[in-house]
Amino acid sequence: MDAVMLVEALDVHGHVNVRQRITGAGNQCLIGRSLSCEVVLDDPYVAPEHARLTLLEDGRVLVQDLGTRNGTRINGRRIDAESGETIANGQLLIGRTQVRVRSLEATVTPERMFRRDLLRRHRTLLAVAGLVLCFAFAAFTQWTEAPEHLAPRVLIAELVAFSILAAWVALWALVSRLTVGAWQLRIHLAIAAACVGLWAWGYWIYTAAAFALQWKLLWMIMACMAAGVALAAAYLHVRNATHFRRAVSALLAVLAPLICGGVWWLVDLQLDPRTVNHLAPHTAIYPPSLRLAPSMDLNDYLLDVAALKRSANRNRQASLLETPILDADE
Amino acid sequence: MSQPASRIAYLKELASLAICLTCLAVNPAIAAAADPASAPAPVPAAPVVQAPDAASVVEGGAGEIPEPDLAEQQLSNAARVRLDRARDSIVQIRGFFGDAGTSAFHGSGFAANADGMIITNYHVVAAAVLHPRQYRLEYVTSENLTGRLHVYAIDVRNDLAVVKADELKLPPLRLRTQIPRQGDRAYSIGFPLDLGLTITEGVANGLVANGLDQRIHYTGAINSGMSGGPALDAAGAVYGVNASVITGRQLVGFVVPASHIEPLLARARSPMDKTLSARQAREMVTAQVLAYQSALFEPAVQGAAIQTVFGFTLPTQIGPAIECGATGAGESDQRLRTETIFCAARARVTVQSGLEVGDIRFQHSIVRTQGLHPLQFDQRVNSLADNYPRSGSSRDVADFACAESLVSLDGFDARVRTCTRQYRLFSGLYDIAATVTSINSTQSAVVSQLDLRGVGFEPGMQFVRRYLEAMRWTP
Repeated sequence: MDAVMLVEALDVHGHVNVRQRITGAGNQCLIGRSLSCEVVLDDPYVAPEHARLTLLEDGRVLVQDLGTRNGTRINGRRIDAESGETIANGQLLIGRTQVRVRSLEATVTPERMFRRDLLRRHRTLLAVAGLVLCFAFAAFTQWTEAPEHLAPRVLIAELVAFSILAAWVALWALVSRLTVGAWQLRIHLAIAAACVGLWAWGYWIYTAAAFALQWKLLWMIMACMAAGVALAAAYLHVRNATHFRRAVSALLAVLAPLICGGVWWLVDLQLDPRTVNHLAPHTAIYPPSLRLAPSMDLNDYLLDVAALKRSANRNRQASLLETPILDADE
Repeated sequence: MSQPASRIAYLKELASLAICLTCLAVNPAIAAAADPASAPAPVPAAPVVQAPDAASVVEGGAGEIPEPDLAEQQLSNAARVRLDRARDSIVQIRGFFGDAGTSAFHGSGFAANADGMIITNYHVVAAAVLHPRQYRLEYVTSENLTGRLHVYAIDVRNDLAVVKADELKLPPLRLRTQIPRQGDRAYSIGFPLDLGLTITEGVANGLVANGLDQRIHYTGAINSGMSGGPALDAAGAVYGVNASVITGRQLVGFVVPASHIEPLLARARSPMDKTLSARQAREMVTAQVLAYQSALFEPAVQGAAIQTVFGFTLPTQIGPAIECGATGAGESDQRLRTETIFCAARARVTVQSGLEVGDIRFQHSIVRTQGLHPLQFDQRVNSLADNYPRSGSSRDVADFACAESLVSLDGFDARVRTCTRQYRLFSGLYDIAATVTSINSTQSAVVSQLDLRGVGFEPGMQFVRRYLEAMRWTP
């Protein structure tokens, strides 16, 4: 096959503006602002005749700068105006315009596979299942409140749940549309609904398990699982809505919940200041048939309570360090 | 469970009383409307009409106190005579922060003996006792003489203090240690709202019933700034010291009986700010509070200490001064019935401005359902346990430390959470809060909340033990 080179001028977004295919060894391609050039660039930093590309016998391309003041760069390196440089492929910087040059000698990578992971294959099923989980939880929480009029309360709860999910999914769909060119509504809906559903029911199961087992460290396991689900959701959203690689997506997935969580924490502090009267909610109680752990003897419990004196002393010391008292001669 | 309405009103009024004291101590000008104040004390001698001899004034039967002719005269004349006689014995006490030239708080005081000792309320001078390097006290006499005052002795329980100025010797008022009969004419003198020396006329209504502390009920105007002022009987003798009023009510004031004055004067030897450090002063206040509370935590007489509702036997009057009331309410959907028993001990004492300690309060909410699913019922019970308001300021107390567990009580298991927090200024005082939620039945449950404010840790924990041990469930 005859020697071939493809010359493509790119715009600032990396899209191809001009494409020129040259065949036959010895043929040349002149690049510049002049209309006599094969590739005409609309760039004030480019000379009328700026660079010449010559297709060599061996299939490679000789790049020569035509004595311009701004010069020509290949992959960021300025080439010698006298001798030029021979390449198989490369990215030229002419003025401020990127020009991509490829020849038959350049290595062509194998095709990139479509991502057909579990999420993409079952996005519809996952989205529906997630929605069912979310709506069921919203209805369940209203039912446990046992309001006098259940239906309106359930309806409101469902609408609230739907609105929040819709806003969240719309946000990610918009990001998808702007970056990868597709809305991917079902994918983002599946991610959001499934994760929120898992979170909600997981929390309910946790409270029931905390009552049944009375295991103090259970909350740590639950917190880790909840964080894992949140990270997975953030990662999948970023991965599907952008072109970022796995590492970058994972980093964003870690940062985003941290930032959002921090902001929420600050807002929550403003809404509900943690005063000295603040007490965390009790471990919820459930029907006695759920209970597995035995009760403590009262004397043993009171021993634990007596040990609170030391904790209270520590809290007082911390408080005095934070806000000293007048005449603090202790 | 009986007399619910009156009990509720009574307990609410106790709460108002605390507010009143707080206002006064924080800012006498603001508290004036709600708190007792000090005022010039009347001279004991009988005025226009011959006054009864102090020794002849005896509590009790009619006819024992000679009715002074003043009673036959117009009220305005009688009050004027009392005020004129007492004017020279009364000072206004002002507290200043740092080098400030304007007062941070003020109250009243009166001369109680020939040594120049002046009686006032502890809560008037509490800031200077607890922060001697930050606050100074000054007096202003009826002749506008001013000078430095020092605190010599305090009685936190009875809200009394003895102050003295080296160069000041006022004519003392005559003290009367007997409690006036109910209905006796009485006067209160002080500097309400910094408006100048003022006398109000009213009626003494005897000792407050069921109180752990001795307080005489005075039906007459007492306003903030009159704290520490003398309360006079018809003959002009001091039967007590203005102490507090109930805000939001009409003319309900309280007076500390004068019988507590002499023991305190006997203890007044030297200025506290020169002999005690700030920490020692706080420890003295704490010690007085704890000594007072030892009586508070004594077990009550057997027989009236428990009450049974829906199978739950619950502690009620388990202390000597605990009063209880009850309400019952079916919710609007009729699926839940709630009975609430609330108990409180009138034991609060002011240890610093705006801070009262010694309260014992607890509340049992017994709920029974018909038609609610167990999950729905438990949700209601959870809400009931979590929605219990607590008060406290980060200025006064540190954060809570808590212990929660399922505990075997008598006949039932319960989730019990006990929390405690220490006072910042008084390291020997703690708030203790316990919540008990029964978990054995899907048809009925009890949520019991216990609040001890500003108590010693060990006696408080003993009380918690007694409280928990008194609970029983018989299905």
